[in-house]
Amino acid sequence: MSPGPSTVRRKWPRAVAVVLGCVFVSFMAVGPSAAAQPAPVHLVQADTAPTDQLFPPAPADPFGVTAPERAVNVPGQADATSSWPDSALGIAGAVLLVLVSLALTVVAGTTLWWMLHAWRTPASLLATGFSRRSSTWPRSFSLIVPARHEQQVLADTLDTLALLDHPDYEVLAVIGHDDPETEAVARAAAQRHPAIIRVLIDHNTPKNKPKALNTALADCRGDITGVFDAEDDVHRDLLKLVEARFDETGADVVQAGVQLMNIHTTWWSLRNCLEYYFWFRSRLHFHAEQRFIPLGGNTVFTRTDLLREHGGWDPECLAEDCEIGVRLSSAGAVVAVAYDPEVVTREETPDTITSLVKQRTRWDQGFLQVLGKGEWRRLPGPRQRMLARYTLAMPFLQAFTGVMILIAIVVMLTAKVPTAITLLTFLPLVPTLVTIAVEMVGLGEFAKSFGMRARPLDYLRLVLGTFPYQMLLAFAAVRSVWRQARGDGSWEKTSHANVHRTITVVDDDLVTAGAAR
Amino acid sequence: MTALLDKTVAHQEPAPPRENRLAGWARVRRTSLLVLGPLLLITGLVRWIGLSRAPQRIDDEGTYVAQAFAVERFGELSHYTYWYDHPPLGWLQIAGYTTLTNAFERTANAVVAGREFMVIMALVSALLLWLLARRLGVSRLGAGIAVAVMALSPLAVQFQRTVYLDNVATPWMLGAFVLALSPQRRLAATAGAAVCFGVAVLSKETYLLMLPLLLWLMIRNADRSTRRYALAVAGTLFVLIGLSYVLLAVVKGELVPGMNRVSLADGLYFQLFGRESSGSVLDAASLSRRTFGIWFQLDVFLPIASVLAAVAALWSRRLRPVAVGYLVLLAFMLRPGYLPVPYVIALIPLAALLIGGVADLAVRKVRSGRRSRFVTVPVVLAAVAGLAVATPAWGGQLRGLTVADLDAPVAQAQAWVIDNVPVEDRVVVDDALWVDLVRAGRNRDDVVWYYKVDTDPAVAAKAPGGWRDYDWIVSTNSLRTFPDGFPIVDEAMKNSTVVATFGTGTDRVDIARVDPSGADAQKARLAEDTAARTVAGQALAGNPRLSLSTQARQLLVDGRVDGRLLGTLATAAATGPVTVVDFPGVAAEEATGQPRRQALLAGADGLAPFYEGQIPLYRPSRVETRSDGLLVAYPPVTPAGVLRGLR
Repeated sequence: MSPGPSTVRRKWPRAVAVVLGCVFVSFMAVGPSAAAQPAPVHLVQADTAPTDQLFPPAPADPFGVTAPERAVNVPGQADATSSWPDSALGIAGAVLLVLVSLALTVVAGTTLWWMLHAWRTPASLLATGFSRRSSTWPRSFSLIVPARHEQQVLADTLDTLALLDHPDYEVLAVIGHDDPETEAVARAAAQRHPAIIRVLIDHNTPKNKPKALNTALADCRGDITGVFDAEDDVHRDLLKLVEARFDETGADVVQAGVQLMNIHTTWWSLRNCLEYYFWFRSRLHFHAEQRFIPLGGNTVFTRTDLLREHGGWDPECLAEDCEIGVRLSSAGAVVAVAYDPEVVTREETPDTITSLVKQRTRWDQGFLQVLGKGEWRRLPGPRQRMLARYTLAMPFLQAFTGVMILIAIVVMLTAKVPTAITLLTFLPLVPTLVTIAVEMVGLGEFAKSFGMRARPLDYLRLVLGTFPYQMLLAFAAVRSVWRQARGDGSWEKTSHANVHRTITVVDDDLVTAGAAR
Repeated sequence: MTALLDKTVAHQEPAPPRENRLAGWARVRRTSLLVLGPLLLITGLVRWIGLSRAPQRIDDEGTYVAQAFAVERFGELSHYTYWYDHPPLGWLQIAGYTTLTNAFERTANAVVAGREFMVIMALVSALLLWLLARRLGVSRLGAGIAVAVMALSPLAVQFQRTVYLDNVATPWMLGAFVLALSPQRRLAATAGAAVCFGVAVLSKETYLLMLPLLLWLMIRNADRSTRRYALAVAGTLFVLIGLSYVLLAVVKGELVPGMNRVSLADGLYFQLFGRESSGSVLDAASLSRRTFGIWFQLDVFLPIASVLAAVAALWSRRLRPVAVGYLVLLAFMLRPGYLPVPYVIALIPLAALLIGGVADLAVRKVRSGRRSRFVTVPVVLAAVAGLAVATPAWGGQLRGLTVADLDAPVAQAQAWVIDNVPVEDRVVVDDALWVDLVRAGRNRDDVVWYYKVDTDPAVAAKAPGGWRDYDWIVSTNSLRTFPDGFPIVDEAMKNSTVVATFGTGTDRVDIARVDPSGADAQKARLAEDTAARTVAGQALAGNPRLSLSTQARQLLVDGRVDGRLLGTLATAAATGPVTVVDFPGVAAEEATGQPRRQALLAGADGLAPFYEGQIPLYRPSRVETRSDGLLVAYPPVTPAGVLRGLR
């Protein structure tokens, strides 16, 4: 479940650019400031130095001072340089502005480009799906479902999993020893499907998802181990398609699509759903091709022997899914990604903004942990290591640019900034606005793929939600850096409302009423 | 683990050595390179040879190179107040070239610096035209014909040499078309097409007219599955690039009109509604018709053949967008309204493409054999007719463009001004001369574009005395015939005397001295001066210590010798015998009726110190000992008061 930090990365620069844009617009409206100074044409008072320089003049300027002036006193060209910062502080400020703008543009631009990866050609889009040929070599599957205080959603999930179309698989429900309600639901399901479902009890304290997964891994009998969450709505044909994908790609790991569905619930659920859409539909394919991939938290299938060889999941990591992905990538494992709207695993967004921020903080912090652990240094290529460093360090980068932007705004307001540099500070807006346009198309395509309707209100929410959503994600990023710095590695679990199964009758009341805590 | 590592190794195949890849690339494209290479060479040579001589420099060229010069040297968009007449990206690119190659320091004049960049743009355009034709499914033969037509059409050669912003925009436009037709239908290519097109429009705004054609090509080439994303990215990028121009105005606080300032709104209003209509092409007396006439005079073949080809291409699915786009652009030209002279530049590559494309279609039709008679006969006839018309006409025009020196009058006038006009005098010039005069050491405020004298308040503010604050006018055909009235320039012209003239007809360049005392006083004084010169000249001719050739005597008696020479010769004759071989004329000044201001004296070595020691009024600008004698030359225009003393 990790569209986390990287999606934050996608959004953060946009927030910054919007802030910059707002600042510009506001002080342009007000009028007199260094950046927005008009260059008046005076009919009588000709001694106003031009303020509209685009570039610094050549150092030696032989013109303009050589011959005497006629009739009126015109200052020489030297005055034209007044729009350029002359103090060391002013120059440093201008350089800072340029660097911050370029950095933001590069970050937003690369993120946009990777977000569009699947659509870069029609052929590449075709290659992101399942081929729908059947496998020549049958494999057996073990599907692990860790559940904690999820008695409300688990029964449906286990019933669905028990009815998958595959001849040889088992489902392992992992329940904490201190969670009798959920255990009762799981036991009941096991009784309904005795040939498929087994219930395992996790005795670890404190509890977290990787520990539950490791508990189950010891007991897995299948060739392939898959992971699902307790609220997942899994398609009946998924296992056969995944089996074929292993076959045709020779991969060690297959990541299939996960999709948040409840776009109509709230303004932020819409954006959250689209984040997943772009992450699984497109971005993950890029990472798979680069052979560096932070895996998702569910609907991920790995060769069981490979998992055991690497000692399973890291029990102390807050983003165990990302961590195992990076560890296996570094060891050279081949990861295949496949997305098909019809067979994606359907999920729902966190039920409150607080949950969303907690979830995002956990992922961000998990990424920082993976960065600190350094497994990625074993990646074979310098390009991959660069990509790994860039992807995993994003929460740090966010915190750093956040501070830089504050300083940049102060510079803009206090120092004289030449026109060219002022224009340059708007550059990050380009990838940002293109991203919004792409998201609007994505919303339409998303709705079409899943048989929903994207209303004008949804498009409005999407656009207007851009800035507040960035603020949320930015807040989570800062929070994760803060927690990591203080060494606080506790697990904040996300709660869900089970609305993705009843997608057509969703409204806001249902979310609050059905919130599972 | 071991198994995994093996896999890793297997995936890291060594990349083929670099030379091999390049050689492979060339091998695959051997035929194309063999056809295109020579064509590019011809394109370049035909434009390069005679680049500085034809056509004559015009004010538009001067405008853009001067603005590029202002970018390079002053860090400003223009050396006058930038008033949003055109988006600045075109001359920013020219400035990029001149800065990188130090062109202003290298070339014969500033316009040549700009023309060098135009040649590069033409080469890039030729290459892109080839790619565009190929991507539209035209054979190598057809693509080759297209590039050859563009390379050799005198219309193309003349206009692609000229420093027009349109020439900067053309390769970007063609690049946009090429990218819009990406064979793999890459999203990046579609986005790139939008960026290229944005640059084209910001280089020359009229290229916005190509937008429907680009959209047609883009949508037709896009795949259903990725089209929405590709178009969303491309559309947003294009709009944002366009808005960057608005942003420039906003940042400078010049978006909307205000008191005493320029604004983007004013600039747009001027371009869309403020320009005087060029009239209808159908009206024989209109400016549009004259523009048309210039095009047809250069080349009859290209306009006619391209229209025929466009009509024929309407039946070809692949060429249809280009044909429709071309015909719509032609129709747009027929509307009454402002028709820019360089409008044709955007049409040239499309015209060449259609001719090449239709030629290819015809060849295919003939080869396929179906109904070949109906195709063969008209095609052969058209080809023969086309060649018969084009070959001799093109030959003559191209010879003119490569050999003739049409720029000579401007170059000579420029040299005359540099030699003879005092550096502190204020000169009104055609834009084409601005950079060169400023580079020759004049103050940038003392060399003034004629267009700015009346229209730019900042310029007017520096001349509170109106026309009397200008000392000289260098007038070209565009200055003399500019459609809008310029009161100050008109006054200055009326109150001036032409002292030197270069060339004839529309190529003529006049240099006139403005007399602040006004036309009437000037006329009276001229008559007085002539009378005084005649009286003094006749008196001097009678001086026995002065020996004169017949020719020199006649000039003296006719009153055609400058008063300063009369005065100094009289003084010199008082100290000893003086022999005047001739009063040599300056060719450019003869026709203007100016008195002779040079004297060739024989056996007069001792007179050199005499002349060099004169007081400023009588000190010659040149005293030169030559094999045939001592040449004494005074600056043009006799100062007032010299002749009064002689009378």
